[in-house]
Amino acid sequence: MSDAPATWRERLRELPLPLVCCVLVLALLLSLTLAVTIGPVPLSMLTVWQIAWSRLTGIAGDWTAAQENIVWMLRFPRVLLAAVIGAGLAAVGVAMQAVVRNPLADPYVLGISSGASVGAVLVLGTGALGFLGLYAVSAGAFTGAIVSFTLVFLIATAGGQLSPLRLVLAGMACGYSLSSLTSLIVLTSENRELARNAMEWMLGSLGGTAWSDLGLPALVLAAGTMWLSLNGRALNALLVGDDTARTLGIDVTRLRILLFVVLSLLTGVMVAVSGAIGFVGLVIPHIVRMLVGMDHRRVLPVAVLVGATFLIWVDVAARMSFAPIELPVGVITALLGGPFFVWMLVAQRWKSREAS
Amino acid sequence: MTQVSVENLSVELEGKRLVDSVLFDLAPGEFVGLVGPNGSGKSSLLRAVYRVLKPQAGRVLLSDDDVWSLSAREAARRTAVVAQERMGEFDFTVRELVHMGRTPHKGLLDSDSATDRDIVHDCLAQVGMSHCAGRQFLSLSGGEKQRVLVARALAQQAPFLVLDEPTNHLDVRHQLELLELIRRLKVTTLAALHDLALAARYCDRLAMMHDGKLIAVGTPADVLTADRIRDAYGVRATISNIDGRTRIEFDLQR
Repeated sequence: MSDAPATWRERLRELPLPLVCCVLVLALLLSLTLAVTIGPVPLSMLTVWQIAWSRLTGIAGDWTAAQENIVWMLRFPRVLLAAVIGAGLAAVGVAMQAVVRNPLADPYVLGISSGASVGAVLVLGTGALGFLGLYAVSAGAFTGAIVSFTLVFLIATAGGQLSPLRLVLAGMACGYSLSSLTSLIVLTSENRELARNAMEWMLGSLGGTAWSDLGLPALVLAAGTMWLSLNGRALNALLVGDDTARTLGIDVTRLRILLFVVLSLLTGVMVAVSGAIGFVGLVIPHIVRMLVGMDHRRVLPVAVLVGATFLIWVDVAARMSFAPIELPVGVITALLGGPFFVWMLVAQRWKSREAS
Repeated sequence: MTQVSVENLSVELEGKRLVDSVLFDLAPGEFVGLVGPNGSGKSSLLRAVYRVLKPQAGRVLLSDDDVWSLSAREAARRTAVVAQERMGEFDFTVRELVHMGRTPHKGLLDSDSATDRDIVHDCLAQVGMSHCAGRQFLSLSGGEKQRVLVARALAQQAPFLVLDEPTNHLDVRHQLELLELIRRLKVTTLAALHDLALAARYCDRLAMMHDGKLIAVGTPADVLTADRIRDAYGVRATISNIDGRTRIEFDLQR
């Protein structure tokens, strides 16, 4: 190892967290604004904020009703949802990698997003959980997520050791089966609208977002990442090993159960509104760890901000690259994430070869 | 007065009895070496002592409290451990890893204080690893890693220290330095040790295990007899005492 990159990384890791977060918050706000200005009807940043300001305060200005509609009803909710989903997926990826102690874990790779999809379409297709009203689909997705998470974990740990390879294979096997189950439910469903929307949704899409889609994911994101950040020390210890975590005073069994619930809740709620968007939870944590180190108390807030900004821009690309045709955002994250995943696999093999 | 008591402890895993009715005490400040051949149950006994394996029978008392009646956090404030655990792929810096030793002392909302940083600094200095504080743990040599893990255990500032084969992977000098360090700390210590001569030299008392049973506890001179070593390890031992130092030579029995 040469000395120069080590000191460069060290210096980056020594930067105070508030400073790093301030810079990233500014970048996020700028991205939000720019992303709202970009579209078939170009708008200036000033107009965007004037419209937002007037909607919040009720002061009118000189823009057309069409402009106001585009900014407030179409683009703002969608860009904000991209930010929320990106942040949530990144946070889930970070924590999931600690739970299973494997840098290749993310809700998509482990088939947990697929589990959530099954739960969601079951609710949509059968009208189950109707008493939950607006939240029925999210509740179904949460149930599907926690069942598949538990299943994958049990398969991967059967016979004691949790091997990285077994985990990825178990995740893929469950992911494939559950995706097929989703297709089956959708294709045989009486619900025509479900069949029409399902394709886009199964690939992961932010199209047609309304303000009402935003509330629950934002709330769950805030509560979930807050809880994860408070448990940063415990996640650090868990990343080293179960025995180590126990000897450092962590109740590992309890922590793991809570993490299963919180991560499934986050995944379920995200999948319910946007479908299974892959690889964000894999790529962002990896890059963030390379930049700010391993300490979860740094990794989590930084990953949340970077994930939000990342998905905003990926969604802009999904909207604009083949305009007027809109791509589901999950297609682009998979295009970026697939090769990244392969690169990680190869790098990991080299690392283990060096070690042995 | 005793600080740690192991009372008729039995541990079973998958129907196999790994530790069978083991009984011994540690007095405050005492350094007890746990010796015995591979598979004799040393690690299992230690894992039960540091509250990771739940015993089938018997109990472990830390100043009269059963470890399983304590919360995980309270137990971790009283017992610090250097176990044999492989680190995964995630590469913490040495400083981050030693800071983890402060975990049982921190609430959810506490951040690292100046005191914590001082403790981490001191613990790294004690094991002679201050110059590596900013390095990645996985880039260290085996011996350096071991010393960092000892520093993490020291950072826990627990009155009782448990070490599982702490001198593994260490060269001769670092073995001696580590055992000297433990002596100097005057913390109550229970350590599984491979090297009988080193154990005899540094420990106040030795406890020898064989087939899950404790076959002897006492001063090194009392425990390490040719007969006992033959029974436990299946080798012929020639023990001599020169200038108060125990020397042991081993031969295969023919």
